[in-house]
Amino acid sequence: MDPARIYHLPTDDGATPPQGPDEAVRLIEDYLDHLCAPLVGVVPYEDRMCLRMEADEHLSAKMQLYINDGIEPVDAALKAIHQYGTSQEMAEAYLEEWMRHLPKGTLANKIGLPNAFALLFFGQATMIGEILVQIRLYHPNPDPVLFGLSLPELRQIIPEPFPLPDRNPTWILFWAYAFLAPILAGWFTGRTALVGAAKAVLQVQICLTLLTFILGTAMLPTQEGLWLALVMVFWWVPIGALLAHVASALQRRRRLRFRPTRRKKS
Amino acid sequence: MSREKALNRSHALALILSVLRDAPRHGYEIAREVERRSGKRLTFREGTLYPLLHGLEKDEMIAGEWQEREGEKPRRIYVICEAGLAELDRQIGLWRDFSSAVESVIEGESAWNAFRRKLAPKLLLRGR
Repeated sequence: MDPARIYHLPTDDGATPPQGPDEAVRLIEDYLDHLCAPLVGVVPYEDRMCLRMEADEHLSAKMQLYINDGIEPVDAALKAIHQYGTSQEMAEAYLEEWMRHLPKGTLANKIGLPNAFALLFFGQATMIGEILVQIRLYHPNPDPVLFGLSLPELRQIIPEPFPLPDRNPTWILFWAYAFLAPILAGWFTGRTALVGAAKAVLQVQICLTLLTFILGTAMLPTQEGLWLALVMVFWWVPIGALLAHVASALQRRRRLRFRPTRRKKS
Repeated sequence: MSREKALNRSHALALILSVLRDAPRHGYEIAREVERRSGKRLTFREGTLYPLLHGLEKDEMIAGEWQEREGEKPRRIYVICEAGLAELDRQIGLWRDFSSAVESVIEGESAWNAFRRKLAPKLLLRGR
């Protein structure tokens, strides 16, 4: 956000943009809206209002200082906003600080809010995966699906010791789920945890993978539990963390973006 | 790395507490005072001040109170508390340790080398 650059942008119709204190106040109010918008639903109203009023007072004082130096009100407002920091950066800084001081006794306070969201989504995903493994354990159907080939022909494509796909529809469901689950869980984690989502996924996935490995070992000779643990290491962790990171970045960008623009002369 | 990036959270907390130690101040005044005392060498995004102030208030290191002003926008004045003074002492101790260690490395002289160069000859002379 470069106020000088923004100021010198010509308007479409070439007309002089509106100047004056009203426009400067509008810019500051717009900035404050963008600063507080991402905090809605996370930070209590009283804390948000406190931040807003302090930021308002700060920006107004700064703007007045520039006006006293002979700068036009709109330029003074833009300069003050620039020095204050982008609404995105400031809202992120506030969220990070606020998350450090969550009320005692909650799960989020113990493990961190992003970790709580990651645990919620990846915990559910792991639980469903384990249920599918249980179904495979108690309702096995080991007849192979041959895809119209003979057994030796299929074995040329899938050599020993790899297991052949079997007729049980839960086999397909299990593998489809193992592939899709981290994409969805990572995405939802990123959408809800605005900061530190990828790190949270990594931390939570370490615990869940260990748990899956222990349960998978207990369910031997059915190997799907161990396969699930392996898939978690090589697919769920990187894809889940990547998707969480991308989703949280997009969500932040959508909620936090602020571009100070002048109103065109009507 | 820009200077504002180098100013991490614990440094910023120490700066805020040390400015508040001398007098109760509001956010804008704290920013100006940091700028003035550092001779404008320490600059940071002024907006980052308020999350830190609110964090310090939640930790009961400082206390904030709204000050109503006639015809002007209200200000929140912050005062340092006992816990804040203790934290400031701790931060100053940490900073002094850190800066003396860095200085030693930059000067290229360890504590042992300084001892050998300055004190050891005197002790040897006294022994004779």
